[in-house]
Amino acid sequence: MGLFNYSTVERVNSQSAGLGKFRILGDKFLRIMSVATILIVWQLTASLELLELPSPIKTLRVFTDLIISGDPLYSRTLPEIVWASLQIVIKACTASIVVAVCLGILMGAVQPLRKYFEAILEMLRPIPPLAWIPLSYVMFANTGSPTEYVQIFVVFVGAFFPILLNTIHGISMVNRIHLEAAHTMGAAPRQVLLQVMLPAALPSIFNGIRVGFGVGWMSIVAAEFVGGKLGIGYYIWSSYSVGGRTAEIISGMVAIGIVGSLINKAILLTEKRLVPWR
Amino acid sequence: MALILREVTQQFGETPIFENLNLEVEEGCFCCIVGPSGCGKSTLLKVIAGLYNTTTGNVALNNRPVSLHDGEVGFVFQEDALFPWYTVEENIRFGLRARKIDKHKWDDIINKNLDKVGLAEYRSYYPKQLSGGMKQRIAIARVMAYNPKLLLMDEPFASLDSFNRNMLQSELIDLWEKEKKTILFVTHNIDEAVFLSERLIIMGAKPGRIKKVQDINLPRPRNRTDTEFCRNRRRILEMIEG
Repeated sequence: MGLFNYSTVERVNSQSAGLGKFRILGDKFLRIMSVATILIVWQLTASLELLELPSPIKTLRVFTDLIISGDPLYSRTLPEIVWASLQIVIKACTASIVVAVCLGILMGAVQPLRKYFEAILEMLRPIPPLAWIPLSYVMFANTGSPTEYVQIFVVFVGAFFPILLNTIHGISMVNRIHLEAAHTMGAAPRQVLLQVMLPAALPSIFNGIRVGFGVGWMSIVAAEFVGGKLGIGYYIWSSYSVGGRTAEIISGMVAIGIVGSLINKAILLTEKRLVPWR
Repeated sequence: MALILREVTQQFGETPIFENLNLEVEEGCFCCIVGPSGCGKSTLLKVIAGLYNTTTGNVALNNRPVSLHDGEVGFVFQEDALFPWYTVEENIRFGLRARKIDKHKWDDIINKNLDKVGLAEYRSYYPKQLSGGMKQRIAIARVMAYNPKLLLMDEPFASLDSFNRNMLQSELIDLWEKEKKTILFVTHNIDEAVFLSERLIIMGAKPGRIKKVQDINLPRPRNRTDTEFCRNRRRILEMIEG
């Protein structure tokens, strides 16, 4: 029997003989390889002067300098600059989550409300968040700090729709049998909403929050291109305006990428804790 | 009479599921409803529970019209209707809260009902950690906890393997003998129907109707391999097909 089992395993392996050689390469190794490929291509492009790029080594040096001692032109470190943008995103996304989740639950659960809001929202949804920038500068002109309000508003709009749509989707996907079970137990609408619909929609809501934060993080960078004084988008744009600071620009972009994926990880982790039944 | 249906009609859109149905079930009776698929037996249970607002006719329990909010009805579903986001204990609590039962009694009630189905040590488990048989036991405990007069069971054991199903049937009979609740139990399994019921309601399809009501007078505990048991099975099968 043992021999027989062994030979089946053997056969399965030999069936994919062509790919088998690659299979022995571990996941970790492949990940390192993929980073290495980019660095090599980058290095080649830089040393052959195919594109106007600083070498990876030089960029890395600038990047670490920016983190540790900061940029002398702005007298700020890179984490401080990123944090300024992140604060806006956190404020705006929190507001967006509160509004979009509440509205989404209502729209998902109450048909007439859904019909009522759908007409307006379907018209607003295709407008890119950045298209709101000029109008919002006008709208918030009389507030103390229009730039901050504009940025919060633009990020809010960017994060709003993914969260709203996913919440509505989650609520409308609630298993019928769970609703019937709740009704036969005599649950009042409030209990059905809070103890059946909301938990059932939570995984979908978290999906929306993750996408929403992603869009929000992109929106802040773009909003700071237009105006701002200390965020990461502003930093990249003004580094370009100064000229000859390509390594600084790339460092800023890398920081955006790292923070974006950290936000994603953080939300996934929160979801794991708040949705323990999955 | 515990449960009385008079001229009950249910239709969805233009298609009637059944029309002018009359039925009387005595208090404490274990009643099985059998019939071919499409005869509306599951729909009948949901009508009795009051889940549809398009029902016409009268459904009365102890001379009072049935409503979702009076706590007289407990419904056990075929698939697993436990809330996956709640633990066993929280699932039972959901019903107790819905029925507005005094909070101080909750712990006691939960313990007692988990004991009844023999799963006391699983109170903090999530449904996904339980087997199919355990889930249905918890589903039964969840409705028994708020002490309804009438239990409606919609093929509750249909998705279990035969070993588990036989075990749950015996446990259900034990529970029923102790608590003497009125039970309406839908099944498509003749063996199950003969094993469980005191009275059998045979339904026909197209249009959905009650074809025959048959008493099963076998002594308990019943034995599936008994000649009398098999004779009853054959007779019921002939009635359904004939």
